[in-house]
Amino acid sequence: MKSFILILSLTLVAPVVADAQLKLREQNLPNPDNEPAPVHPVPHPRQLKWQETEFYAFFHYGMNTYTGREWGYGNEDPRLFAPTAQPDPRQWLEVAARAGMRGGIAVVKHHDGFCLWPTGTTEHNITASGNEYGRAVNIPADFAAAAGDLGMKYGFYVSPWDRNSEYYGSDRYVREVFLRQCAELAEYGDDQFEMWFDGANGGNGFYGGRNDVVSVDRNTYYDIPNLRDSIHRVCPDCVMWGLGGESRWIGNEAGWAGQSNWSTENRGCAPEGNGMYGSEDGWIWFPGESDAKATDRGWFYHDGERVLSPERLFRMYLETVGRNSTLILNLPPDRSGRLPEATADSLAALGDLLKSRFGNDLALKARVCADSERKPGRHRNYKAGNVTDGSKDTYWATDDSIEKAVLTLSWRQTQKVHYVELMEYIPKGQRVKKFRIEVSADGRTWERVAENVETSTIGYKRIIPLNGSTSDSYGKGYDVRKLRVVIVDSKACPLISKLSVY
Amino acid sequence: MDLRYIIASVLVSVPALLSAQTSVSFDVEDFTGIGVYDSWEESPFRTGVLAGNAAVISNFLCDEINPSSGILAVQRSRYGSNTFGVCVGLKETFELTPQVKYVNLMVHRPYGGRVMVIGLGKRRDRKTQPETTEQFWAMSRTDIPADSWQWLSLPVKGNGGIDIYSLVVVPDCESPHGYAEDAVCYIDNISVTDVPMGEVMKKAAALGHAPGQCVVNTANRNGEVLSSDGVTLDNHQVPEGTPFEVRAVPAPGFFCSGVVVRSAGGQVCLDVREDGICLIPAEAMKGNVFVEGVFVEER
Repeated sequence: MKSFILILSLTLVAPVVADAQLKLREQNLPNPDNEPAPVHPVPHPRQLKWQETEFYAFFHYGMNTYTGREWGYGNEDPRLFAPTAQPDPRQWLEVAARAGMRGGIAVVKHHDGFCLWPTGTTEHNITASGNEYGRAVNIPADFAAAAGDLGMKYGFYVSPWDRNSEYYGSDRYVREVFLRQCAELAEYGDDQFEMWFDGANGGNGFYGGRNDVVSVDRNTYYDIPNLRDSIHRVCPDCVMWGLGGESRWIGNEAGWAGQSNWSTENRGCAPEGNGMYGSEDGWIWFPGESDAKATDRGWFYHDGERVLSPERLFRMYLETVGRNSTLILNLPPDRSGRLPEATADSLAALGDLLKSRFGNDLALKARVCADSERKPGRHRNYKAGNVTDGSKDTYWATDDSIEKAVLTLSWRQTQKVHYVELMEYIPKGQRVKKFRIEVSADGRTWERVAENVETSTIGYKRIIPLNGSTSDSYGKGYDVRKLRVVIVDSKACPLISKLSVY
Repeated sequence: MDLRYIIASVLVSVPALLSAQTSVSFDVEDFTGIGVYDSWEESPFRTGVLAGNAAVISNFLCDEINPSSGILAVQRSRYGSNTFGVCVGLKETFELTPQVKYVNLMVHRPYGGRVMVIGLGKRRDRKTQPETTEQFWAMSRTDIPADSWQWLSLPVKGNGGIDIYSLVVVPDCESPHGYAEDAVCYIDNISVTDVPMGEVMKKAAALGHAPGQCVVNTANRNGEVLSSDGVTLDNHQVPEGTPFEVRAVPAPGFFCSGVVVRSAGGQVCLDVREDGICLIPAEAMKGNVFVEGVFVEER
């Protein structure tokens, strides 16, 4: 923003200049590295870091854990929050790490308004809870500390809707409660990667005893542009989800994204239901996050709940992370403040599946070539081999005029292959609109695979099960000597940073 | 298709439409500064590698639609992003409120496509906040034709207590990666009003129209309103005092909850049939007729 002042001061003009027309000023940017022009919009650096988190956990824990509800009314006696043991956020994150997740978001205030930290904004918080375990815990502090120890990313869910606050619906709530709570949470660490703002918003509630129905316009009530400005001053890498306007809801809670999924969206115009797909002509980078449950009941812990099988969770992974979305998978701690053993076991098995299926990248043993390579610059080349060099900063590219191209992997010996993973170099925008995958068993004749899969967008990451099934994706595999990715259509020259084969 | 209700013409009169809170004509020095702005943080115009090129010039594109003497010209650089535009410092700041206001303006550029206005400002209660904090982004939902003066009226709203100090007009809200060269875009007659297109009515009224005819215009967000036979309602002339059929076409994910018609005959709010057709009654077809579809997000 600061540069505007400078720009403005440099270009102040007289009210009306004498010239009848504005003369075009010759403008050229040196491009010694022959870099492709960005396709706008492009992600902010904090969105890039966020997207690299890929797979992380959601921990719904709070008053509802003890009342058995999903949306508390806001009139709950704080003493009902009475953990049967010391809540252990470190164990939550350890389970997540075992599953291959890179971070987690802890719910620290749900719609019932009960705060899991000693906030100055309301007495409805853990200091008034029903036992010493409750009074001793500070979830944001403990969660942030555990994440730091484990080298994981962390962030918090704080519900804008507060059914407890007597001020909800007034400006006073936003100024003195909600924004202050966000500011307090920001103080728990300037390296937070995401703050989660639920879209559920307004309706009936306790509201300090008013027992009223409150309706607010969420587009204006929470003053999101200035909340975002405030949070970014303290936590520069914190992406604000949902209402925050920096990453979008994927449009369902079932753990899938559209096969065609653009990270660009017409924020402010597009309906939430378009979240599965994004918009090819979106004006802003607004990537999707899929929130889904690893258990079969609610977001909070409920007696008798069962955790989904590792295969089901693996499918969810394919249909979200494998479709240019991040996956935030909910793991609800029980009344002891720990994740149940069954949850830990299933998540560990998921981690094993991910390692076994994606742990051996056969592309690293292949010869890589392309039918077209961009002319190299002084310090940068765009060779096909860049897709297997392990660096996220390099990529294969074609010349500007070439939007169709073929990338081929060849092996000396026949390989059994099940999945192809592709990544675009998104700092310069999402480009690919259509592609296909073909394999060759003999090195001469080609067969198209995954024909029933909508091989359209790639984005940050796309994983294609070669048998075309996400429910039974591993299958028997294909015996191949060669595999090629044929890019059929792209907004501009394609930039591929990674090609993996498993 | 039933007439739901009619608000007496005195409720919405032309003088009310003309009471712009903020107005920049570029005919006089009614702005505090002109510059370029790009939301993209790595823009060469933010890093200082390139300097913008914008100025107020004589209106060499003067015509019946825009006869003003001065207009704003900006070089649309192929190195700027899809949110690169010209920033106009406002002499008269305005407050963003939860109630919708409209930013009205004219554009004339060599590109078709979408146009955006970004509001820069700050909260009154945050003394240290820069006046250049982005506060709203309002984009035309439909393509704005190229090579002629076009009116836009974009709805904006926000939390109260926010003052807007400058407006960035993005005349070409598309990625320029395929552009081989830069071009000049022109902007004029920026105003902020409580009702849409007040200036359109003023200008159209000044223009006049053929006897026995009325002039129909629309401005919509999240959809468009066409004549029932699919003609764009851009200074569309039809017989005065004759019922006129229009068709509301919502954007995907939206539905049309009604059509508002403002004219010399007053303001009417009309229902829309399931097929999007709406009949404007004869009494509303008088003088300059402004038709606005109310498109609401499906939930």
